[in-house]
Amino acid sequence: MRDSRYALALIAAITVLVAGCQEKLSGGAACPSLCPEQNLTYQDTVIEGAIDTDVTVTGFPALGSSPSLLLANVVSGADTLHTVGVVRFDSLRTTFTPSSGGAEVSADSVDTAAVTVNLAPFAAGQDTIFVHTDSVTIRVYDVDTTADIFDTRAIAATVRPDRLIPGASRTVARDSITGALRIPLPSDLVKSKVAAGGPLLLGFEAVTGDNSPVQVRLVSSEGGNTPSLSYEAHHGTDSALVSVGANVQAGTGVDLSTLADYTVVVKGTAPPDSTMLAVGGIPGSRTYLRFNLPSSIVDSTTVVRASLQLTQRASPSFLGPDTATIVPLVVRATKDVTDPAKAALLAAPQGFINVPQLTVLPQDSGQRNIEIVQLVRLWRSELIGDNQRSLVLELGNEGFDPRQVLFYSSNAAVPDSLRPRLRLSYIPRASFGLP
Amino acid sequence: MQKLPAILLALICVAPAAYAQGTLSTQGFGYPPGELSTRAAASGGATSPFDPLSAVNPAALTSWGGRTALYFQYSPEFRSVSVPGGTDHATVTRFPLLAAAVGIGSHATFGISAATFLDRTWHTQVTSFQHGNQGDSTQFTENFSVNGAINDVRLAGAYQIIPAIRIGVAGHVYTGENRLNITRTFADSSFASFSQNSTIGYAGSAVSGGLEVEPVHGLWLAATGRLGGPITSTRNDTTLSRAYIPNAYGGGVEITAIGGLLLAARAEWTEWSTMSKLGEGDVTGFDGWDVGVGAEANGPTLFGSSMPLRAGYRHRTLPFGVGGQEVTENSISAGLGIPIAGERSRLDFGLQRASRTADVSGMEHAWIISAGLFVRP
Repeated sequence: MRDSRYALALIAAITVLVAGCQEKLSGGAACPSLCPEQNLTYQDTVIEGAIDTDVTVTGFPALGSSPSLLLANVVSGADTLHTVGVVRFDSLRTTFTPSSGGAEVSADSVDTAAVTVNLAPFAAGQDTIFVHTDSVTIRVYDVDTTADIFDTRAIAATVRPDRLIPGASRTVARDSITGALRIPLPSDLVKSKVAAGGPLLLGFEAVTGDNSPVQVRLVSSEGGNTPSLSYEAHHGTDSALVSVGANVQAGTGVDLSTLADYTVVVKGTAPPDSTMLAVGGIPGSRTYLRFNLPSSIVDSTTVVRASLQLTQRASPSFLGPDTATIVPLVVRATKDVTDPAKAALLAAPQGFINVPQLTVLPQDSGQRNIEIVQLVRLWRSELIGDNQRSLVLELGNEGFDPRQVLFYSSNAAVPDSLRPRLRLSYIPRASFGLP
Repeated sequence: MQKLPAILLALICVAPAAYAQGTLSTQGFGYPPGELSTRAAASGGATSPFDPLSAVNPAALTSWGGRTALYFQYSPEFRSVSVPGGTDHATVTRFPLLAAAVGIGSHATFGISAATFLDRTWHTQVTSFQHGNQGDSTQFTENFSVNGAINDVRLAGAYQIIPAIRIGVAGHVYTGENRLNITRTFADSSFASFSQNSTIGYAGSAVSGGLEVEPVHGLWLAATGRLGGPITSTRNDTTLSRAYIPNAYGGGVEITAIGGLLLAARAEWTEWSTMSKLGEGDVTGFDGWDVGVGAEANGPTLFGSSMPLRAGYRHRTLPFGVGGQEVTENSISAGLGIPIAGERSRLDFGLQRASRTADVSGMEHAWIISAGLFVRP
């Protein structure tokens, strides 16, 4: 009996020992001398001609697409930034329903006219950055013009003293820049516009008493607050309060509703010449880059690093202490879209794929790398479809930051090493030594 | 008995926190466990030509005793590899042998077995620096692992012509796959990781035969031979390479005339070089001997039956070299068998201490624990 117990204990012990083994293999102290088939090769090269198009396209954000309208009045050394927010009332009601009831009647006269806009609040601590005085005055221009609706230059030309609407201004304390702002309008101006059924185009400008730099924003229709015009309409003894939202006369087959309000640049950042690539400024510039990647590498190897190498040149305009963020966006246009300006609009939102942002000081210079390995892998995986292999660089605060980040373009008279180029690091398929 | 829980706990915990590779033993297409049963391995492989549980000599199948029988074996290996730069430890689990046999009458026995022919299981992890062309560098960690094996599925028949003469023949199908994975991750976040998988399939065949004779009472002689057929490697139905299963010729002697003691010796020559063409580059197969001597003695009685005690020594050339150098393995072994339910079943345990060397700056040691369960339903 005693033997049996010891035997069973022995069997159990050995069984547990054997069964308790957990396979553990990782290690490598003996490598490389004893490691079988360590045959990964690493290639690192700059691909000449990998970027077949590099160009600056301007005019961003697209007209009417921004959630807020920039009212900027900045003079900094030789730099001037002047923008106004334009609100269109293309169609005004010529009739109204009396508040006492009954059928609609024509508006023979108006009074108590005003336009209401919404001031976008500043982020915490930023009010003193954008408004240097205790208060800011918002004043209104009559920017009506017969020019084409897309002709912002014609509108900018109307932003002059003789087009200021008398009495149409409000001064707001710096710490009260938020929420609705009602600005009175002359009744005779509104009356004449109502009688004609429109249009009434108003340009909003921000100024300070000492002409110090100022930037405020109005929430746009895209941002969820449509500016409105209100007035008391009269017909004999009948009257009613009429309110009209910003609107655009419908185009033919084209949705122009986003053009009810937008920012017009009266004076902004100068566009770069063709030797430079620009990102940012007002109006905003984007850098468009189209790649021509060698299939022998991209399709047949594993790219582990793809660095878009750009050489930054110091930007002379709107110098400031803060860094600027460059956001790479992946173009989702097909190869049929050959116009860079159009292709740059057809970019996937930020975060579509992990392409890290680049943070720089615009006045700095030197080589900058944008790592696009995940984008290269995306392009490799897109076996079906005809997407172009393009990238757009935009400023993180596009449309609201007058600073530009400049890079040498492929047209610059500089050594090749300073022009845009692509550095690829890749590992060819391993043969594993054995089959 | 009160000490038993503590002993069990201690035994469970001895599985080493292991790392390993490269190794001397798993070069090329892998390590050959030898297709030996726990019993044969414990006696240095010396009894394998006469052991019906080992897939060495089909003639030995007659020793199953003309009855249906099953056998299952588990053999983990605890390995350490020492080089001047340090030591790695690894634990490799193996199920190297599964066998069954059925007796047809009193003279014929048919058996089927599945044994690990070449075990290619290893994992390397290396951390180093990647240097770019522009003077920069980044740290990377590379993991390279292979799992799988080439297995030998043997269908064998044996016939006892007279009690002193037994013959056997077998057909072998070699099948299996190696699953290879290599990854490289970088410390620099601007890099993306590299990963590649590949699955290689193998298919081959061979025939083998064997003979056991007892010229005088208590002295058994055995001869074995394997004629290797073609083996191919494939990936995704594409044939990558062709070679031949190695021919093998061997013999053994077993002395049972000494009361309660069995002495055995065995030698086998294997032409591993025929597999070289299955690989690319510097995969070099080395022809070599596998020799062993061993003994088995009746031990104390347990459950009414004698408990065999075993010991042995084995020397062999491993199939694939490292850096063009031949790798040899020397091992000493011991074991015991625990009879269960009389002679109907037996639980064998074995322990091997193997040392593997080559003319390179490194040495490998391994403990191989083996447990085999033999059942006659």
